[in-house]
Amino acid sequence: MVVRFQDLFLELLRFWADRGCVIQMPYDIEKGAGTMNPETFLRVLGPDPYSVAYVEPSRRPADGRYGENPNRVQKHYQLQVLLKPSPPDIQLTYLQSLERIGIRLVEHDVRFEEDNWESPTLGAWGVGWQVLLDGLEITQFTYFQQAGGLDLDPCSVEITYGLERIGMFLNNADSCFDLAWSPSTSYRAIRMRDEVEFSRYNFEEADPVLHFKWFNDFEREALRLIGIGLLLPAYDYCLKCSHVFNVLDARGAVSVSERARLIQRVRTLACQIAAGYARSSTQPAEPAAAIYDVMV
Amino acid sequence: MPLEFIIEVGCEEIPARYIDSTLSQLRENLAKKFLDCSLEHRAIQGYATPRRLVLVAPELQERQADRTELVTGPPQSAAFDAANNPTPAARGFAAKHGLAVDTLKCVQTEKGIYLGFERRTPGKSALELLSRELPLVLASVSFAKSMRWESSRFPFVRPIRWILCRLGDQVVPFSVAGVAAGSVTYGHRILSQNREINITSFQSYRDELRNHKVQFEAKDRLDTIKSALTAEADKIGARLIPDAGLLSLVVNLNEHPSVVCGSFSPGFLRLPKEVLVTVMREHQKYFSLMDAEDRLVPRFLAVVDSDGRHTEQIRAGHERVLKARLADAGFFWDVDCKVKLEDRAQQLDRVVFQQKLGTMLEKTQRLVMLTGFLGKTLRVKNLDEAKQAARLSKADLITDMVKEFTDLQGIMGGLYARAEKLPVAVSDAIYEHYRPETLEDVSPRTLPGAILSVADKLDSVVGAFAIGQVPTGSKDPLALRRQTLGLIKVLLDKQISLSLEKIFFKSFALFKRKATRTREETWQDVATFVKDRLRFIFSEQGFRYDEINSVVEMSFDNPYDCLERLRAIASIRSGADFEAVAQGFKRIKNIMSKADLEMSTELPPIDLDLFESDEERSLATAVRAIQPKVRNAVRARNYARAFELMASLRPTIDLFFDKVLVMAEDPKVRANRLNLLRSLLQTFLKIADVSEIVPASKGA
Repeated sequence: MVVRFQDLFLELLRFWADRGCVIQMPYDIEKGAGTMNPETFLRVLGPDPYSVAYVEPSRRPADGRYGENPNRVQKHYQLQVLLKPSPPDIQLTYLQSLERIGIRLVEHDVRFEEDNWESPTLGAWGVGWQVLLDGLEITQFTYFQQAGGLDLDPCSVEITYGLERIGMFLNNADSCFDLAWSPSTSYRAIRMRDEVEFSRYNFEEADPVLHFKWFNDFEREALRLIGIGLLLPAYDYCLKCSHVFNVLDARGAVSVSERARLIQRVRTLACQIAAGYARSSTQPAEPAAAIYDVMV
Repeated sequence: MPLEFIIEVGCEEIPARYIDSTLSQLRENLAKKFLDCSLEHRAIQGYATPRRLVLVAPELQERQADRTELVTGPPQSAAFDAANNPTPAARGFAAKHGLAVDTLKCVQTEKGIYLGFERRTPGKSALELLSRELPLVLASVSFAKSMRWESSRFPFVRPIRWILCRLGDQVVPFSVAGVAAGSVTYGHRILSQNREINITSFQSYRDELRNHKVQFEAKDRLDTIKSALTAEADKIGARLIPDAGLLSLVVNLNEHPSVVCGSFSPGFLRLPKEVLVTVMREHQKYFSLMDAEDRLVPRFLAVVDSDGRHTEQIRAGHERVLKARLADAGFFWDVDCKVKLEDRAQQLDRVVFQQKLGTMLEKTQRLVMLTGFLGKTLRVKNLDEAKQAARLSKADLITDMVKEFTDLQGIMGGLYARAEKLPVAVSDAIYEHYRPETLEDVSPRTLPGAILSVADKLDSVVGAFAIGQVPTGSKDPLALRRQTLGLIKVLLDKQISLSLEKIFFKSFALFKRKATRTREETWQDVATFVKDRLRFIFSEQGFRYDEINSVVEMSFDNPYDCLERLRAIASIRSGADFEAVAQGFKRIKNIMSKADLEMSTELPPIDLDLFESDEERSLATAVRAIQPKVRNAVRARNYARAFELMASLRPTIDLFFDKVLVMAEDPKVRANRLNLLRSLLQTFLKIADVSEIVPASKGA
């Protein structure tokens, strides 16, 4: 039976919507991972409960392979779920979500293997696992401990499904391009040109001088906005710095020592924004029960 | 009556590497708590899986024993008046304790006779004590990385989701991290749908978990895995490549292990065995297999968490994942092979070794010189190959394969060198120059490999110390401790005899203006650092601390020579004569220090005319007779012989101390005697300071 790519995320979003999550849209700025969407990075700060799920296109310029590698692409799709505070039965709920998309767990080798997540650019880290299905990593499961250099209280749990991998697993496919996105259109038809052109751009055509200038400009703008307390716009420019850095890195334009410095500069922005956001989001919390009674 | 105590802490998956230490800490903490509470018990048994930590005390004392203590009040003299009636003091004492005066007794104490009574304190029940103390037992476990997940912010390695805790037929009431202890556990999360199970005893726990597909004893899982691995290997007529590290990891990655045998396309066998085994082990935790001729077979064994009913599907999944991984590795290999190591070595100026110490290109340039220097010191004739290996040793750092699998550094360089058909001595030396990685690891097999290994480690250690990057506490980012241990181990294993100070000076000079500290400052720190590691290695090898003191404190500049002296002393120390002489030497040292005589102070030559008795004359003669023999033995590195000579002095030394008073009145006579003793000490001081040896009778 063919499992279509779009049905995967539609089913998963429905699953989490039924359990009280806000279903959000992707954020409209390039980013390396769904965690960088402000719906995760900023919402984990402060005391207010929040539950959200969304699909996020994730761009990793260095992972591009001109569409020639069956597993590596410069853009892939993550389905991100964030639950704050983390509910006690979350692992079981997650496993139910796999059953929902047609994985009969009892017929497989399912394991939670240690994999602690850390984002140097966001000053964020958490502990958790990669979930392995017959040896294939299909999900990153993380209890957030810090973001923007701040201890988090309450703690959030973040579940990141790798949609392409799950799709390949369900369809016994050797290449993500072979997946059927919809009944009439393949992943290849939708994504291949994107991979080829962006691989060329990121590896061959991106103008390093321009990108370094952009990095400096975006950083300056972010700092100015932090100064006048416009934190959400400031975060946009922080994200732009991060993406510009990723392009420079893929282009091979960054030396080892420069690399560490650029990461540090993005991290400084993220930490300042997080600190300001946490200070300004300490209104009394909604009672957590109101969120979770839907989930029972 | 003793009761059975059981606690099971149910967690989300605890990382495999933390399980054993967490369990043993819990067991120790619980035993300590029982002791503090004076609760007797039989040995605590511990069990663990990724999802549960279990402790069982089969016979725990139900309650503390009652305690009786003597409470004293006023002395008898102040307690009763002349008419033998209780005084107000006695009545006050009785009232304070709620007793009638006539129930008090006069008791004899060390201080005299006092009015008092025996107070009985009933022991508390184990149930009460445990419900108070168990949260502390759980809270006192420490982890390299702990986490928080709920509102009480209790730190633990992973979230606690249930607690089963019973004493006899009761639940021990307590709660931790918002979880209340109860009588319930859960079966295998998938194979038994996480079934909730009521537990009444350890026996029922054992039975129920078996029924619900959980092997909670690591020993059982290990047995299952080992026999399944062997059985699967036998089925296809292959041999398992043993991997104890991997085995101890996979034991703690499941609750119901079984083994699946998968295969990969034989086309991948074109890749080196090291690459295939590493991809399987590091990425997928698979075991590899060999045929009778030690060739890798295109199969793998995966330990999976499953009951063996859906093997086909699971195997297919694992095979698909491995295929993608191997395809990646094959891609890396092909791309890497397109560029010669010689060309890559030129690009090492883009790779930073250490910010203040410059690039890897500079490092390899130093390694070439250092290799040459070491080779000359060791009188190696042809150094071309060792130098070539040094020049190419770091070129693999910019290969895709090493970027993906950093553990393969060196090994890949060797394999690429082999693929380029460079001389075998060159590829071998590159291949093994990171060895030994640990004290259990083997040292390089070839001499050029050993020389390069020493040069590489020396350069890292000296460079770091020269810019003040000295390891402190747990901070050792350049792994200097490990590298120093490796360096010493190579010298000892390969029986390389050289002066550390000499090679240090050479290495230091190569850093030129990069050093921020002086040569002498740096050497002092390096020397202490090396000495500590050397002592550690010797104690790991089973030498006793007094043996190590006696040898290392005299000189450690030549570690291999140190080892030989140590072996000699360890082999001879049990002899009665040697021990007695060692005692004699200790006595001499004490006399010297009382006489305030430095070993270096100039003294007039020994004057035979100043001797008064035969005993001192014969000691002087014996010392003089023995000195050239000892010198010869030392020159021939026959330290056992030197110690035999030392032991032969026993009767002479004994007689000397019996009959001669060293600290004579006449300063000239005294100085002459001290002089004789010092000469005796100095004869052996280059080998060891035997006065450090603690006699067996005093217990070393």
